[in-house]
Amino acid sequence: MEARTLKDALFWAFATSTVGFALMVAFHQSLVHSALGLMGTLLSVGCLYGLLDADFVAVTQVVVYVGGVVILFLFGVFLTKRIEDVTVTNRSVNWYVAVPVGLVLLAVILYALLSSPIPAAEVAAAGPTTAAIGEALLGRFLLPFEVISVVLLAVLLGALLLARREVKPEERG
Amino acid sequence: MNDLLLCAPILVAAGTGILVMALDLLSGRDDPRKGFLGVVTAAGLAIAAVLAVTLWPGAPAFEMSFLKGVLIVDGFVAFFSALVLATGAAAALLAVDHLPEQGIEPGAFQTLLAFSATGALAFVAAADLVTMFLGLEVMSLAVYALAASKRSSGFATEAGLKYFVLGGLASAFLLFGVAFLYGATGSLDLAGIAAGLAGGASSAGADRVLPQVALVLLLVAMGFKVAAVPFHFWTPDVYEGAPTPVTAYMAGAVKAAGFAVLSRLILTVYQAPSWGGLPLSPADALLGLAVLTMVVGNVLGVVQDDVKRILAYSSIAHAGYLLLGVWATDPATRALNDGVPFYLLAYVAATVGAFGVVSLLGARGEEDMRLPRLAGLSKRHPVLAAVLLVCVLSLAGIPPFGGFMGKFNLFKAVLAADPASNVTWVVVAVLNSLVALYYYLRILLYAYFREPEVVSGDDVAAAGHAPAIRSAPAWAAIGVAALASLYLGILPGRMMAASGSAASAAVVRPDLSAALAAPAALAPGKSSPAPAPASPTVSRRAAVRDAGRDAARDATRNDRDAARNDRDAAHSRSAAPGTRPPRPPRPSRFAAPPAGGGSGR
Repeated sequence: MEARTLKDALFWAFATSTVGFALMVAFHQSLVHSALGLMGTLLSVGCLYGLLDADFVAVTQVVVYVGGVVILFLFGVFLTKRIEDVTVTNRSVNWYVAVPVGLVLLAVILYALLSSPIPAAEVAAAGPTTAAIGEALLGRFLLPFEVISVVLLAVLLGALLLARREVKPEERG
Repeated sequence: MNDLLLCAPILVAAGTGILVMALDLLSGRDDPRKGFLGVVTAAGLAIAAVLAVTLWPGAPAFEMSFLKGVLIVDGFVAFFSALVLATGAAAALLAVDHLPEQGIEPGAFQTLLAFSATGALAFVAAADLVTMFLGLEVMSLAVYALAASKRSSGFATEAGLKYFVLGGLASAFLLFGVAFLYGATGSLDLAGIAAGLAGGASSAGADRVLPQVALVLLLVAMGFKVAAVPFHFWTPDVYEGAPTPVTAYMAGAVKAAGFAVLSRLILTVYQAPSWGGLPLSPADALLGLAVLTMVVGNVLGVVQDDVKRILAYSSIAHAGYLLLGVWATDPATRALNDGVPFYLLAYVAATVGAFGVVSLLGARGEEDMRLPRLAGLSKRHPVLAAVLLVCVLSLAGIPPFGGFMGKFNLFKAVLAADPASNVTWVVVAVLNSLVALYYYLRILLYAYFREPEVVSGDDVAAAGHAPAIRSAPAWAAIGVAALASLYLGILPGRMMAASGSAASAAVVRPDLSAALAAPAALAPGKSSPAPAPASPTVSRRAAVRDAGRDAARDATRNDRDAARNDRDAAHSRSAAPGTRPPRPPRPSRFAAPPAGGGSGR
C-alpha cells in the first residue's frame, strides 16, 4: 500500500510537470524558453515511462529527445542570426471558435475516459524490456520497423527538397 | 520465403524510390531534364502494381509467418494497392516534363513520390493500427513535401504548410482514436479489436463510450484524408497550390487509400451486432458526413472560377457519394457495398486524366488555371480537349463513360441494401449529380465553345493562351486515363467482378482473430497455437505443398528461437508470454513442425 501511494504521488507530480511545461511551450513568448519548456515536457514524459517500468522507452526518450532533439533545437535558435529580434507574435486568430471547440473536445475525452472501465492488462513482472523490444522489432514488427526507416528517409529528402539552396542556372557554369 | 514474396510489392515500391535516388546522384547535376527518372519511377510502381494484383488476391492460401498480424493481404488490398500504384505511376509520368518547367528538382520529387506510394501500400494493407499509422505517416509526410516542392511559388508553400499542419492534426486525432480503441479492447490489430468490441457490447452500456469516442476521432482523421466535408477546408487551397501532378496524386491515390482504410476500419471494427445502443451509431455518423460532403462540395463547386478548384470541389463531392456507398452496407452480410471499389476506380481514372490535362496546360510559368485560359482549347489542342471531355464527362457521370457505370452501380447497391429507407438518400445523391453537371459542363463550355478573348495590353497572354507543353510520358498517362474511363463505361464487366470480390474481402471477420490476433493482452488464451485462415481447404492444400520447403526454414528458425530462449532464461526474465503486445508469439513458433528441428543442428 505504501508503494502504491508513493507511485501515485510520483505520477501526479510528473503528470503535472508535463502539462505545465507543455503550457510553457505553447504560451511563452521567447523561443528559448519554449525550447526549454519542451525539454521539461519530454523529460517529464520520460519519467512517466520510467514509472510504468518501460525502461527502454524512458532511456530512449531522454537520450534521443532531451539529449538530442532539444539540444539541436537550442543550437538552431542560438545560431540563427537575430532570431531574438523577431517578435514572435503567436497571434490568436479565431480563438473564440477554437477555445470552445477545444473545451468541448476535452470534456468529451475526459467523460469517455472517466466513465468507461478500462480493462487492466495483466501486469508482467518488472524487468528489463530491451531484449524483448529488440526481438519484437526484428520479429513480428519487422515490416513496420522497416517502414520507419522509409519515414526517416522520406523526411530527410523532403527537408532537402524544401530547404536546399536553389541552384540558379547562371551559378552553375 | 512466403513472407518476402508477399512483401514484394511494398519492397519493389520502396526499392524504386531508392533506385531513383541513386540514379539521380549518378546522373549528375548538369543533366538539365532528367526526365528518365520519372519514367523509372513509373515503371517501378507499375511493376509493384502488377505484383500486387498477381500475388495478393490468392494470399490467404499462403501461410505467413512473421507478417501475420501485421499485414492483411487479400483481394481488397490488392485492388486498392494497384489503384494507388497506378496513380503514383501516372503522377510520375505527368511530372516528367512538368517539373523542369516549374523549376522543381526531379530526383527528390520522384523519390518522394515512390516513398509515398510505399507508405500508401503499408497503410492499405496494415492489419494493425500501428502499421496503419506508420503507413499513413510515410504517405502523408512525402506528400507534404511534394505539395510545397515548387519553392518559387507562395501558393505552393502555403499549400504545403496548410496540408502539413492540418494533416498533423488529423494524425493526432487518429492516434487518439487508436489509443482509445486500445484502451477499450487491449488489442491493436483490427480483428482483435473487432472481437474485443463484440464481446464488450453485451455487457454494461458504459463500456461503449470509449469506442464511441474512438469512432468519432477516427472518422475525423479519415475525414481529413479523404476530404469529407466538415474537414475539407484545406482541399481547394492545397489542390490549387500544389504542383498539378501532386494534385492528381492527392486526389487519386491518397483518397483511394483513405477510403480503403476508412471502409476496412469502420466495417471491421464497428460491426458488433448489438451496436445500435450507441448514442451516435457509426452508420449515422457516416450518413451525416456523406450528405454534408455531397451537398457542400457540389454547391461550392458551382461558384468556382479556377479549373483546379473546380476539380478540387468535385473530388470533395465524389467523396460524399463514396461515403454514402460505405454507409450503405447490406444489414445481412455487413460487407462493403460492392459498388464502392469500382466507383473509386472510375473516379480516379477520370480525375487523374483531368488533372493531367491541367498539368500539361498550366506547366509554363505560374499555374493560373482560371476558366478563360481554357478558351479555344478544342482548336489549339483537339486531342487534349478530347481527353478533357472524356474525363470531365466521366466525372459528371454521363453514360458512355466509367463514371456513369460507377454511379449507377453505387446507387443501385445503396438501394439494394435497404430499398425502403435508402431511396431518400439516393435521390439526394442524384440531385447532387445534377448540380455538379453545371460546373463540369462549364469547363467543357470554355474548352469547346469559347474563343479566347483578345484583351489589350498585358492581359493578352493571360487571357488567350494556356500553352500546352509537349511531353510524351504525360500524354501516355492521360491517354491511358481517358481510355480507362471509356473502357470502364463500355465494358465494365471485368472490373465490376474485381470490385465485387474486393468488396467481399473488405471486412476482416472477428472469427479470423485466432489467425490474426497478436498475443492479445486481454485474452491470453487467444494467442492461438495454429493459424486458422479464411479458407481452410485451400490453405491446407497449400500447407501440404509447402511443407517440405517450410521444414528446412523452420528448422533454422527453431534453432534460433531455442538459442534465444536459452539466453532469456539465463537472464531469468519471467514475463509470461502473451501479456505484452510487442512480444513475439514465441510459443506458436515452437508449434512448427518438429521434424526438421533435429536435422538443422
